[in-house]
Amino acid sequence: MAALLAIAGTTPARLALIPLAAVTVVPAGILATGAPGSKAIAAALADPLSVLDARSPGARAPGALTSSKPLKAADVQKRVLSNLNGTPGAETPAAAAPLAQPAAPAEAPGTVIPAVVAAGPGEAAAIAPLVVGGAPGAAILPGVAIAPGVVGGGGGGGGVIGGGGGGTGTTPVTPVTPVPAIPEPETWLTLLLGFGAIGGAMRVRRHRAAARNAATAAKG
Amino acid sequence: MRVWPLAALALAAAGLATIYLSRSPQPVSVAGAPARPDPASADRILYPEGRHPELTLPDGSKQVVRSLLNVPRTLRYGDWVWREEGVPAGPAWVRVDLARQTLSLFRGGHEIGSAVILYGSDGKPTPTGVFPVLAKAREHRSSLYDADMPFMLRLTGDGVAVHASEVRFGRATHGCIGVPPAFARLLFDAVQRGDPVAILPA
Repeated sequence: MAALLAIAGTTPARLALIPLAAVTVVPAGILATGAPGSKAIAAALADPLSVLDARSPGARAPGALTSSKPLKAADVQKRVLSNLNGTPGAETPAAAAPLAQPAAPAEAPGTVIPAVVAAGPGEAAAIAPLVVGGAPGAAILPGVAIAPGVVGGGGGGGGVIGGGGGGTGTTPVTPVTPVPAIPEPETWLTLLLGFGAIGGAMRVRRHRAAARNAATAAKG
Repeated sequence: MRVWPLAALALAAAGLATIYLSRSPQPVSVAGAPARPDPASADRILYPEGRHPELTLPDGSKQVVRSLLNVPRTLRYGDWVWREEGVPAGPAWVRVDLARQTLSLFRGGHEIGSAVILYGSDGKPTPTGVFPVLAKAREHRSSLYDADMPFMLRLTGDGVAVHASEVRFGRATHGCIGVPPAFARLLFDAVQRGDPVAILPA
């Protein structure tokens, strides 16, 4: 009877250690003798590549390198209450620990091409130190919200969003354009124009209807 | 007595403690050398004597396989396995399987390490074939791409090498083979100059 290989965990009771250590140095492993072979055992005997197939994450997907979504950083910090917005069951590939080996200190990555070098315009604006001791009241890049105090700029930039204080912040803060409580003059003007147009239309319509009624009354 | 400030402080402390304790658990790293595997644990598939299969390399040569690592689950990006306990010294060779995105290191016919790899992007593909290791460098900086290539095993004259990378989904190389840094360190020490590295096509 040919000895058959067994995959771990499938038939632990039938496994026997190979007792060859006395003759030649052989690593510990499993070898089943006389056990009825399963499909995996037969496959492992017939084709060793099936063992590699079982561990492989698969071929690289055709679109793996052209994803338009930005990659998540491994140590991404999300929110203070991180237990509230974590998706249970989801595991990022980068967070997966190596199997049965201690984690080694991370090394600098080599020639790795990130598929998406994603830095949106908002991100770039938040990181780039735009204010380098700017003079107070200087309007800088209208339309671009500026992170306050990346390099400790001049206090009170004025400008578009009323500039945060310079401060000594070292971490760039994601800029949030505030919605003003009072509408701008243009908004008021548009609103009033609209009301005027509606009023005018109603007035014209009423006049025409009155004229038509008068005309039919005169005929009849 | 002013109790309100104290009560507020206690409430705040309790809240902070709750947040701290309810954070998602971090992956625990085991310090120190890996423990010797339980002999009964089936971390290796030994082929019986006389039934050793052979793997065909791209150049037509064949390598005998005496045992393979029994990996309990599908490896994910960044995962690697290393088990060399009891494996005697012998000639080493590396099998890089681009189609399976894995690398295997064999010593004396026994597989002692395996990892998920990165390989060349579609525009800069990884060459296939059998390449002896031309040079080794623990620290190397790419002159072509101005990037670090730690634990480099150079394979070709134009700079293709096996080196440490951050192996993550959606990444590729300029033709090199990237392996996880911790695995790259082990691989670097286990492979000598001249050892063949077989790269099989995707």
